[in-house]
Amino acid sequence: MHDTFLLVLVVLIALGFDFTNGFHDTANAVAPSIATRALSPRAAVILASVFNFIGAFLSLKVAATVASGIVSQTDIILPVVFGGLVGAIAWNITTWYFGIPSSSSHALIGGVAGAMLAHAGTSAVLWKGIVGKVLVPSLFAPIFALVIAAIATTLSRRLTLKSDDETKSWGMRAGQIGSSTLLSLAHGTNDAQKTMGIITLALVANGTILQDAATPTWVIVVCGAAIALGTFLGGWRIIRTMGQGFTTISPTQGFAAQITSSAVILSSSHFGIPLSTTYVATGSIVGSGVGTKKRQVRWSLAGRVALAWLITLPIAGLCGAASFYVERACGYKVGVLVMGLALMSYASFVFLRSRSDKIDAGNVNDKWGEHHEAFEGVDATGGQ
Amino acid sequence: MLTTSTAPKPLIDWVSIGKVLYISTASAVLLVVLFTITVYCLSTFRNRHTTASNRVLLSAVALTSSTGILAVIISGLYYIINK
Repeated sequence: MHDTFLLVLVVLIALGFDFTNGFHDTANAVAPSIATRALSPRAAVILASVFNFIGAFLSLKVAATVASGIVSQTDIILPVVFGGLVGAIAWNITTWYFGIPSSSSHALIGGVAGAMLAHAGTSAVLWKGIVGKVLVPSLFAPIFALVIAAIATTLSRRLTLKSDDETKSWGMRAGQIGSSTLLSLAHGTNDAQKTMGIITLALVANGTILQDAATPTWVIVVCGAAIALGTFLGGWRIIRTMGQGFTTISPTQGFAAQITSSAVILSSSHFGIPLSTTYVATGSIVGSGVGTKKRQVRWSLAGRVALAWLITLPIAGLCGAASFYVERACGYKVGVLVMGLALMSYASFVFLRSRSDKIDAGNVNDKWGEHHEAFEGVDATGGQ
Repeated sequence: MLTTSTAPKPLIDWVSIGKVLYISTASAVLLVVLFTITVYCLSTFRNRHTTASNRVLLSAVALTSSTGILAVIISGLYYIINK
């Protein structure tokens, strides 16, 4: 099925998703550095966006997994990809508004799987791929990150017990700049590839490239650019939750958390496992809190974020399926335009609503509990 | 009679998950410990009670651990890009 009009729309919305992915996940790489003031908020997002772009060129194993391991390539059609992306973007925008660090990868995979279910039934979804390559690694990723970060923080804290505070603080902040860089690189390597995989899937669906063909270079470049732009604009609401919400991050904790996240993400990218970078980064930050002497973590907040993680895949799947049904009911060409406009209207509504309690580079480091519009208002001190 | 059979791929790739755990734990803990040693050396170096001979020793340790950090990062990235 060749349809250039639909293909262009799908590629555009895929890049839109990549943009929200960068925007949503900036926090993963820079929240601890901003929280400890190792970097100013603006410098942090500039550094993250540059290294996200570079990271997009490092590996393509995750792109291959997303393109061929989630849904059947023989049954895929462009409106399914479009519907899945609508579901994923809608979930990303919603969770951004509430400052919830949820997984863009799960939103994407859930959205596409939901739209595919609506189109071709259960046989077209590669359940083995979803369970083995998405669900199980996602279950382990935050636990691995939490444990490793707790061990690293404990060791680092004990080794520097006799160091003077000034040198320790300065040294660890300097280390955080390096670890932020590494983590941004890791994020670009892992996350930009997911959209590359989706665009590759769309090109296969349109018959533009053959099944199992390599990802074209232009796809790598535009995906790297889109995620870098999203990262540059900074999803401040989520940066705030990650940097101030879970625990009070010291430079030692921040360094240990960022190094742990980088190690887990880069090693999983190497094995082609599309891990959620958000789950890893969140696990590392919580683990760094566990590694402190007082085990200082807001567990009630962590619990509510974990609940959001549980519903990400099904909700994005429902949105993806609903979007596909609307597209089919309207006729595919009109349908994708209708859903595209509906998504833009929703995004505008959420953006305007977020202005009433604006969080930006100027107030992202305010004490936790000072902003009441998002869900932090009910958890100012609870659970520590 | 010889028969050949290919075992089906397991649902969960435990081997890869195990490798991710092993590699990430080793590299993260190693990097954090090496960096912490560097910071500790720097801190002790700046202490005015530290003797000149100890400062030489601290500098050597800090240089070794810094080199170790660079070696871990560069070899890790090389491995990811090339294999």
